[in-house]
Amino acid sequence: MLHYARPLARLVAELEKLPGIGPKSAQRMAFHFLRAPHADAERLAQAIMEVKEKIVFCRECFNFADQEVCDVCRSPKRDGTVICVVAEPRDLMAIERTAEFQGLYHVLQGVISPQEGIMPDMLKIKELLPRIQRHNTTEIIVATNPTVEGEATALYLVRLLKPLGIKVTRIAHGLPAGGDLDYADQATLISALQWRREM
Amino acid sequence: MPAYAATGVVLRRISLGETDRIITLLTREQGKLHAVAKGARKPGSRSGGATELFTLTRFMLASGKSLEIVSQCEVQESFPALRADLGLLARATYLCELADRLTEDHEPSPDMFDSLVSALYLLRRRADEPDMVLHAFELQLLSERGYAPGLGQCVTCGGDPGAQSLSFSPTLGGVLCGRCRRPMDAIPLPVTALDLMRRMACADADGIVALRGAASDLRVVGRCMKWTIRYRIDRDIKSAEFLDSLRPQGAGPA
Ligand SMILES: [Zn+2]
Ligand SMILES: [Zn+2]
Repeated sequence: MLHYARPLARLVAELEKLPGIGPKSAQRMAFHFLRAPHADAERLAQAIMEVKEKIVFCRECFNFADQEVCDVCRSPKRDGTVICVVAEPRDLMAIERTAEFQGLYHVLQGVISPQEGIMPDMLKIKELLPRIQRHNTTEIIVATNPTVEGEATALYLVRLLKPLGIKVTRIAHGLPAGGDLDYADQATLISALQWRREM
Repeated sequence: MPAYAATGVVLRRISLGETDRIITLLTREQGKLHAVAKGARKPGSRSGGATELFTLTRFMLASGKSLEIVSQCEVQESFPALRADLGLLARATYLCELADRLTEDHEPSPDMFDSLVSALYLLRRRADEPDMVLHAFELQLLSERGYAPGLGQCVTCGGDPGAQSLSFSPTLGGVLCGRCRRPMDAIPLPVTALDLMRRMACADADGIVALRGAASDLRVVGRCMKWTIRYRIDRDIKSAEFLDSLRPQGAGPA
């Protein structure tokens, strides 16, 4: 059994903790840093520390932010009458990349998961209500995943918001672009039919 | 072992790596199994829908080292109506967790599989009173595990319980007559609630569709079931908490 020099072993051990990284990849990455210029390694180390020190959750929408309020919430161009509710900041970023949506977001920081014991009050749901009032929001778009937990979260929001006279919509999900009708399963086809539109 | 076919309900799933899933299945042929579904979380993946919670799927499985491996799968029934209603979704989720807690791996239990599938179908048909299905399923599942509550005679003295001052004891596992000393956990049981429980315990699918009873009796049955299950499996069914939170205040089985 060959042992690494202690600092190298420590780096490998830290890298192995990263999501999706096994011992082989950790070793490869560690050797990469060993060979890389000193400045490269320093930039990475600094970037990690900066994220830890500077990134907070936006106090409005709970997206990641480097100030109290995130870029989206600060922008005067965004329209608060429509709020798109997502589970995680990465979902917000995916929608933001399309550059199609001009409203505001609200990040729940998770979804209702009965089997995992994730209850509605553990998510940023109640924080949505004062925002709806402040922005005179008329439509909430629920953009959670089409999983049982995503549907549970969407249905829960409908139950909460419909009585307040707010229109709650759900993003359509059905056939993937470039997909094959014949290849789609029953659940996908049913939702594709459910969310059909007039042409 | 070469690949084999099995039809199963997805009881539970956890994410594995970037795009995979580990699923727990209750199959008719092999009992409860755990399997890896590679690529199930890729967008547009066909196995995504087939490995969703409480979906009934036809699988081709291969035995791996510690887990089975899904080689093919096709949705047989995705129960869309249960995904479109919060109360039904919460109940279907609970049924799956309960079935998971009450079964052992690789122990074929076709009756339990049939009860679960039938309960999933019946939830939609009894959307008017889905707890009729829920509690009938709980009673039948408990009885398949050998935990059937005693509903015929008093579980202490063995006598006819009669119709007055009845109670139900989760720890003693059944009904108590008015003359017997009650343990601390005894739940007062109207004779009409006992009657409902007896009808539930032996109802087939058509019987469950036809079950009628007062809402107050249904709530008492719910309480008896909740504490019986808690006593028998010695842990909480997590999805019960969410389900209870959806019930109108004070109407939960508490
Ligand atoms: Zn924000
Ligand atoms: Zn007695």
